[in-house]
Amino acid sequence: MLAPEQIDVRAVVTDYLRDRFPALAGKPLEDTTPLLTGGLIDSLGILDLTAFLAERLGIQIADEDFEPDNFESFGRLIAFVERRRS
Amino acid sequence: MPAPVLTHDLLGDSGGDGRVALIHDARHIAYAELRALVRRYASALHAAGLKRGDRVAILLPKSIEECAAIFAVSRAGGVFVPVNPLLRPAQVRHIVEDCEARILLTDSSLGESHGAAVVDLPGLTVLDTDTLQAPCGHDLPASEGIGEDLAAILYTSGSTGRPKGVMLSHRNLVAGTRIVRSYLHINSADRILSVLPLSFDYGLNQLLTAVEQRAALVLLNFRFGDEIVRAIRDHECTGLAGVPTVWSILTRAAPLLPKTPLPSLRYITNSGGAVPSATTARLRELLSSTRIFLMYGLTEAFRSTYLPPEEVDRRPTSIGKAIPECEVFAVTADGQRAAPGEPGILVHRGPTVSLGYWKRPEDTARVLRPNPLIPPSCGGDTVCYSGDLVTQDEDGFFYFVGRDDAMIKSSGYRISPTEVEEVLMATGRFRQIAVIGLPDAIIGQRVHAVAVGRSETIDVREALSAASEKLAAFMLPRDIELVAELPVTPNGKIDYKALVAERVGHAGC
Repeated sequence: MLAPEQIDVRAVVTDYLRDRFPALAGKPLEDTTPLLTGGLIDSLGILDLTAFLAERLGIQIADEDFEPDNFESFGRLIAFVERRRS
Repeated sequence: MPAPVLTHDLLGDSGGDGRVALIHDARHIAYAELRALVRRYASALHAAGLKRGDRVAILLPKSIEECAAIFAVSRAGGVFVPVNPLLRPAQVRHIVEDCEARILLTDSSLGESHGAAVVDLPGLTVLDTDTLQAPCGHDLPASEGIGEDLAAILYTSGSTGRPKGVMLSHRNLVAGTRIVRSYLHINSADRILSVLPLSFDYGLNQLLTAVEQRAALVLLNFRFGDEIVRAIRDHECTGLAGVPTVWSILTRAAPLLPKTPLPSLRYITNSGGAVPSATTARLRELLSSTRIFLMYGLTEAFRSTYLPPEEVDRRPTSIGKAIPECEVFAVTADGQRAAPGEPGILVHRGPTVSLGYWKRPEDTARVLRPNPLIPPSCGGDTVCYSGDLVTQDEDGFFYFVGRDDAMIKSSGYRISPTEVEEVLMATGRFRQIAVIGLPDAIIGQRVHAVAVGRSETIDVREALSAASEKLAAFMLPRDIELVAELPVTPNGKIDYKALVAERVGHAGC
């Protein structure tokens, strides 16, 4: 795990999403890009994503974090990650 | 009340008028209101020119409107074709075009995203449920159908090509409803949670059984395990039907479940693939007062077997025995009944055997065949060959062994490797590609592609991104593995079995 100030959260999460979810590969990820609509990231994908956030960014995901609000769009996800890291 | 013959007879004209029929988020609708909505839609379909036997594709999110549309098409004499809204526009077009739909019933949101893909199909009328209304005073004639009429076409994939439409008669659907309701003991006190798509015969069954019994159906589009737990708790649900993925999510990614007692939950059912024994054991711990029904079925015969809950601890990997009114047996390659322990193809006979594939007589002939044990001249019927290899133990319980073809089953969905391969080849980046299913503890099989690239510098991500425009997310390979060449069989075909074996061997999954 890198020290917090050394990490570009946006870049790390973007890389992970593009790699894990083919439907997001090679596309620009904007704050408004939906992540859950149309099954892009399904319930199991969320599971993998949270495991990644815990491992790579040291974020402890609480039970109440498993909420669509935190994952609805790329912007929401980044905001959630930054909130948990501060 | 006479026994139901047609699908909309399950809803009937009366009974349970004030009882809640459907619940969706904050909305709920009583049986009398549901009947009024069905009549309104049916009148509008008739006014739009729908004739007996015409196909109506239903592209709607899981909603009160989608449920009403299914009964309305039946009431208007049509054939309903439910389409999964997760499919990409080109996939929706394939279904609408293939079944020669006269009407596409959708809403404004899906109409906007998917409407352009079907707009040029000749003879197709697109109707929006948001504004669906018959002209004032329009008279809906009495229903003239009989039980043998085609009621529904459900699209599903095989081992090759694009999805095929399985034709189900009203008699099939009414029998399936009666049979499943009887062994699950569904009654008017039940409140069933519906999380599966209604385009899937298994998902459709929760709607049909609930309505037949004037029970309540709670509709849920879930993305998080806890949403399921909350829905069961808040609506005091008594039944839940799921596929293996649902159980993985509930046991691994629903933090609320261990601390939320769910005393209302009388039963859960699994179909669409085997549940790993460890998951079943965990479910038994978490839901100690809930009965678990492990079942097996294929759309071509609607539902075939179930394991009585009292056998689950003793035979956690069994798919059980034939459902009521049906007979199931395993047949060896030489057409004999398999001995205990000997693998054979599961064969199903009974009132839920479908009418075959829409406009695909050759595919139908492979699946619907004469009874191998009784000649037609001695009363032998038409039976369904599942294509699933099973064994039977000494006590007559069946166990799933594998497929006899390359069909992939992932998260409860049947996926045709060739459909995925065609889309990936169309990106122009590959010389050859093979799509296989690799074992996965959570989703059953993981879609995986092995390819020979056109050049050394293929961007796999770009290829997947392009393919995602044409394929639903659940069909996209998790990865494309580049290799120098694909293994071939002695007669020159891609050796799918070897591709899987090579990876299962050293990947250790």
